[in-house]
Order: sequence, then C-alpha cells, then structure tokens
Amino acid sequence: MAPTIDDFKNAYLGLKTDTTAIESLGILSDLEKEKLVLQLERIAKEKDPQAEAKARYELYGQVKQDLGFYIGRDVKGMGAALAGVTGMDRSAKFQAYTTAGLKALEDVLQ
Amino acid sequence: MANLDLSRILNLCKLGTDGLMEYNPSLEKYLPQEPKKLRRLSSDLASRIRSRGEEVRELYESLSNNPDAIFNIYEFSEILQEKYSLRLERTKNLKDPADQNEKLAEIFGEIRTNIIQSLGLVDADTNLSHEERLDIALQFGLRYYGI
Repeated sequence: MAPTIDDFKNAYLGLKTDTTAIESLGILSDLEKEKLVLQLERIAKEKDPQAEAKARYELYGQVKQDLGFYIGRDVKGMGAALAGVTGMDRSAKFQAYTTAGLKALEDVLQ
Repeated sequence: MANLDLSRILNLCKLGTDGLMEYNPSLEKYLPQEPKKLRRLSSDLASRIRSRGEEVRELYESLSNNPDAIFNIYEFSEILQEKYSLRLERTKNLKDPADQNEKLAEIFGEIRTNIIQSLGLVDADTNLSHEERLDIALQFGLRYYGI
C-alpha cells in the first residue's frame, strides 16, 4: 500500500523518540539506518544544549528534505503539485519532488 | 541455543565456524551439533554475499563511464542513489579539471566506503553498539568486496 502523508509525518515526529516509524517506511538502507541512529545517539549525548539543538535542527532538516522527496514522488494526490514533472531531467525532477513534498510535510506539521 | 535469536544465528552461520571462533571464541559453546551442515550453509551464504560483492564492485568501477550504474547499487536507498547521481552530475559544472578530479575522487571514495560497509553490515553482530557495528562492517565488507 502506498504510504500516506501521515505516515511520513509520523516518521518525522518519531525521530524525537525513536526511529521505528522511519524504519517502517522502508526507505532507508541498513547502513543509513545505522548511521541515523548513531547520529541521534551522539546528539542525545551532547552536553552543550545549544550544540545539541543545532545538531538536531540540522539532522531533522536533512531528514525532512529526504522525506520530502519520497512524499513528492510516492504519496497519492501529489500529482497536481507536480504537473510537468514527466518532461524534466533527473535533477529537475528530484528538486520538484523534494520541494512539493517538503511543502506538503510542512503543511501537515503545522 | 535457547539464548540466541534468529538474526544472531544467521550472523553466526554467515561467519562460518572458523570465522566465528576468530571473531569471538567464547561463542564456541553455541556451536550446533551438526557442524558439517553449518559449514555447508555458511559456505553457501558466504559465496552469495561474495558474489554480490563482486557485482557491486563492478558497478562501482563502471561509474566513471556510466554514472547511471549508481541506480543498480541496491545497497543504497533510492534517495542516496539520487543524491550521488546529482553530485556526480554537478562535477561537470566545475571548470578546472583539477577541481573536478578532486571532487570526483571525494565522491567515489565515499561511495566505495559505503558499499563496503553495507556489505559487511550483514555480518556485524546486532548486539554491538551502532558505532562498533559500523566499524566492524567496514572490516567484514572488505572481504566480500575482494580486497
């Protein structure tokens, strides 16, 4: 079954507590899962709250971008926001998926 | 064997009896009653992983002539494949050939390390910390990559 925007929203919100939700989306390779969990563990160990907040912000931002790509590409109903994507080259398509998906994610997170 | 879960048993099988002993001698007590069967299973699994190691190394080596080969490296997620493809594509915009070569070397080095780590991760014990697993995956992966 195709993932919904709520699946992605839950995956993103789940980062704050554990990575189960993001793993269940099946979009990460084993190596990337290991690296993501390791990064989250390192951030949690950071003693300086400002440094922790900065690192968390950067990591979450990156994950949000990645989720945006999958939302734009895979979530049903995103087609209208992506009119004209068929004729684009790979790089433009990547940008179009990410931008549209990111906006949709931001909307449901608000 | 009662204390071992399935993923751990599979990891032990993949290591093979000799590899297992070398990896952690204290696990000897867990060796099953049928070592021949285990060795056969172990060698099947090892050869399958080794053969994927060879395949993926060929894909890696073809990248400089065929950047789309990145999309056949299934050890990476689709987003990682896309990102590497974009990064490789963007090197073409660098005017200075020295800068271009330096950037390409950096990207290829990263891809190679990630491939090796992905191959080795199959063997890395899930009871280790994430940091230890990634370290050991790099060592294990080198065997399958053919170095």
